[in-house]
Amino acid sequence: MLSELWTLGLKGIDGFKIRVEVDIASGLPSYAVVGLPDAAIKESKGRVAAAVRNSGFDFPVKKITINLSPAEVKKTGTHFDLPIALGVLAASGNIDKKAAGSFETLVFIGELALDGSLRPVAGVLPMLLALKKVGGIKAVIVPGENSAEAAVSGLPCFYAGTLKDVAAWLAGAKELAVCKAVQSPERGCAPGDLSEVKNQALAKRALEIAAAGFHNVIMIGPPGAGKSMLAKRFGSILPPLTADESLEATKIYSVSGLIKSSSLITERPFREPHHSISDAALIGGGSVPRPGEVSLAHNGVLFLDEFTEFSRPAREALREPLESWQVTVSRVRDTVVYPARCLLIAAMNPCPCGYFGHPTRECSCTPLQIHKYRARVSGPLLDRIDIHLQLSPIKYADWEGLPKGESSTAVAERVAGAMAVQQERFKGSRTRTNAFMGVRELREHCRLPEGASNLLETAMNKLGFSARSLDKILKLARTIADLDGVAGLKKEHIIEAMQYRTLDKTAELVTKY
Amino acid sequence: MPIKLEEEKLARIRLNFFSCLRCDWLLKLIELYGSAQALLERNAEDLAADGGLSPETAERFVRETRHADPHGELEAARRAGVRILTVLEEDYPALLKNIYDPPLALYVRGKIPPGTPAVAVVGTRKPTDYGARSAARFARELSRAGLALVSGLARGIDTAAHEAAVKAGGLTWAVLGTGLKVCYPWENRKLAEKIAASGGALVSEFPMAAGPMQAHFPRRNRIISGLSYAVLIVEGDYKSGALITARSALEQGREVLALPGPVDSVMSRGPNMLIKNGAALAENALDIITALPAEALFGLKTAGLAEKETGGTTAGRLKDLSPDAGSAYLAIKESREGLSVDNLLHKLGWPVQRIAAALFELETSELISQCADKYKPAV
Repeated sequence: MLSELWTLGLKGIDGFKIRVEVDIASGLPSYAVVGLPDAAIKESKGRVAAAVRNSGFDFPVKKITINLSPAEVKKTGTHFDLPIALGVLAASGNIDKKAAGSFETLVFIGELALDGSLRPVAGVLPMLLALKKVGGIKAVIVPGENSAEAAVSGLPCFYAGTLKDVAAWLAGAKELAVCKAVQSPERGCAPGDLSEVKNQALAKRALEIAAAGFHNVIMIGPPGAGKSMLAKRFGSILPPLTADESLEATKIYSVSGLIKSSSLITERPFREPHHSISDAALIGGGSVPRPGEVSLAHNGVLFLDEFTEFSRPAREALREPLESWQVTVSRVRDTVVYPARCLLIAAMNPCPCGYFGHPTRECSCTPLQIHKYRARVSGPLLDRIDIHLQLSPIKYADWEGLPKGESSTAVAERVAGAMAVQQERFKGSRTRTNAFMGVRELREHCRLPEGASNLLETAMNKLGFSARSLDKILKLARTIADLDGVAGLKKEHIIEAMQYRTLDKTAELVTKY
Repeated sequence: MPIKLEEEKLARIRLNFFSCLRCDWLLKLIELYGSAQALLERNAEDLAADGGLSPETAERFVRETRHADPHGELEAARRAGVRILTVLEEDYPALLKNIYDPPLALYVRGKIPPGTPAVAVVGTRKPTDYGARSAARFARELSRAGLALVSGLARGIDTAAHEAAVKAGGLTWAVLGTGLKVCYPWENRKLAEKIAASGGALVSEFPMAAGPMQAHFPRRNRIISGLSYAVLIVEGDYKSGALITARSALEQGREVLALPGPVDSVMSRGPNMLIKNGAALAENALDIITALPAEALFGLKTAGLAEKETGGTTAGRLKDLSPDAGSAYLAIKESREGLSVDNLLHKLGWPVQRIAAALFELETSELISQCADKYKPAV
């Protein structure tokens, strides 16, 4: 006997329909899955057989062949358990023919436990979103724990607790509950407020600009300068995710199996992987491709503390996502693209011992050591970072009696304003913010004010800026002008922007005296 | 026996490759046997018997000197634009010729014009701002007076002095502790090029390809003082290369001067000790010039030499500044360790953009420079 039903597969963060065909024939008892299944699918025999038996059905002692079509695409995941089990039940006559006839308009997703209960799987939302485009589906059955996520898709989704429940529902003996969206809880752990950082006004201003234009940042300073403190509060000045962005983020988290109870990711992602991370984990990869930290930080912040301690391959691997805003993972069988439009905040010490530029402690490094240490951030990588911040710890005498700074809410308001200006500017283009401007857009939107050409010339000759860094300066100046709510660039915007490109001008900064 | 000059020069270059014996010992051996050529013809037994060498050293001496290739060395030097001088030649600096142990071979890239009086300015590799600033000021003043400035191209004081001299259009000679093919410290290779290009000279007694060995640097120091009429110690701790230079200067009968510094500064302990022991105190280049012997004074310009604290070139540029930049400059100048943008914000109470504009103006007029996050008055 033959039965056929639908389930879904994943390629990158996009889903596609898969047809599961189960054939039961007489012959030597066997269980074979064909159609490029991975190890987890091949192992489904153990789970499916036990789940079928423990749900009160007989597992046929016959020759069982399962085909996953399209047969030439590699399939991964454990969510094939439920459709395979149902296929076996239908083909062996445990589900009556009439019920099996409705399979054409149903889709099943779920992993089975040995006792027949359904377990949650990864990637439900992206798979269902693909189904939405196809249409013609009357019901999708998912495990209970995936119900909140499935509800977001807008499809008629139902969730079940066990294989038995699903079989009963097919037979018309039981109703299944409809999936309902669950609001994410309010900011679980507050990331802190910018006003808690005393002093460091330039750094706070730089972060405001970074947030407004989505510019990458590198912070250089001795221990205790407040690099981590500032970075961790960065999330509080970013505007909340838009609906589209939220869906994108949720898809990536779903594929990685990181969606817990809530339906949608609504907070800007903030990822801070440890510096022992491998390059594959950072940008994505693996024999079965999975999104890396850069993709998990899509539309949010990727904070790399102790940047120089990351392995060289990991650091250099960042070049691609920082340039093209996506990661392409190529494998022999297929190529997967993950979005990775993240804002990088890298933090590092100024020298190997950490105390170069420290107000009280002596640095014990030679200029050559410092030079070598800084060279770990390679030129091409530094090229992709718009804002350079040099920090140093403040002395107690300065710290005492400082007024509290501006609150995050006030800064976030200005950031949101500047973002709105950019949205208007880049309407209909792929560019979203100033940081992503191409050369042509740069020339169009960052026209020099009157008399500023000699300003740039002085900057190049006296401060040693390169032509490339001038472009970065113009981009930053654009964002500064947007924060000021001004249409045309002004001289002071450009000069302020130069304050954030200190590494360009100071080739000699390290070695001197 | 008449000495053929060319042959003797080659022999001395060959001898110079042997680094196990100090220069003075080699010179004694040359004296003993009459010429470097004669010395090289001896076998190990002779050398051990009447040269006073241990048998091992004697054997090594024979082996290594035989191995050396003076022709190749001359060729390599020629290709690098370097001349090799021995005391037999007229171009050999006269002052250096008269020290107790003049180098057997002196490698010179650039020119050491005969009769140009020189003064050495040396100091620690890790100077304070005060030290670096003063070294640069002395270098400028000495250059203006028409004196050549000798130093060691090391980091810190040496670099500051050489750079200021080059910038002021003066002559400066850098004595290296490596061969002239090697640049140490590595980050000073551009400075070395600038010195050679500005009419100054790079000098070394080590074979072209010799690397930075620890033993080279004290030996190098005797050349620094040997080339100069006076030595100024800017900064340095008790045990520092600068004090070795001071000692060799005394041995060679050169004037030793020291820049006084705060008594609680580690880097001023050396010069302060020298002053206590009788070294002349140097406030400005005039103090140095007064200490020079009469023969060195010919043709020196001494009028309007000393730069005042706020005087000289800085004052002129200050007048052209905008009021904002002016007050920012004063604030920066007032602070000892420099000010960050944040410090300025706090001090002046201006918004970031206003401070950025002032700093830009000051930085492009080369009045201040940035180090880490701090802005300091330019050296």
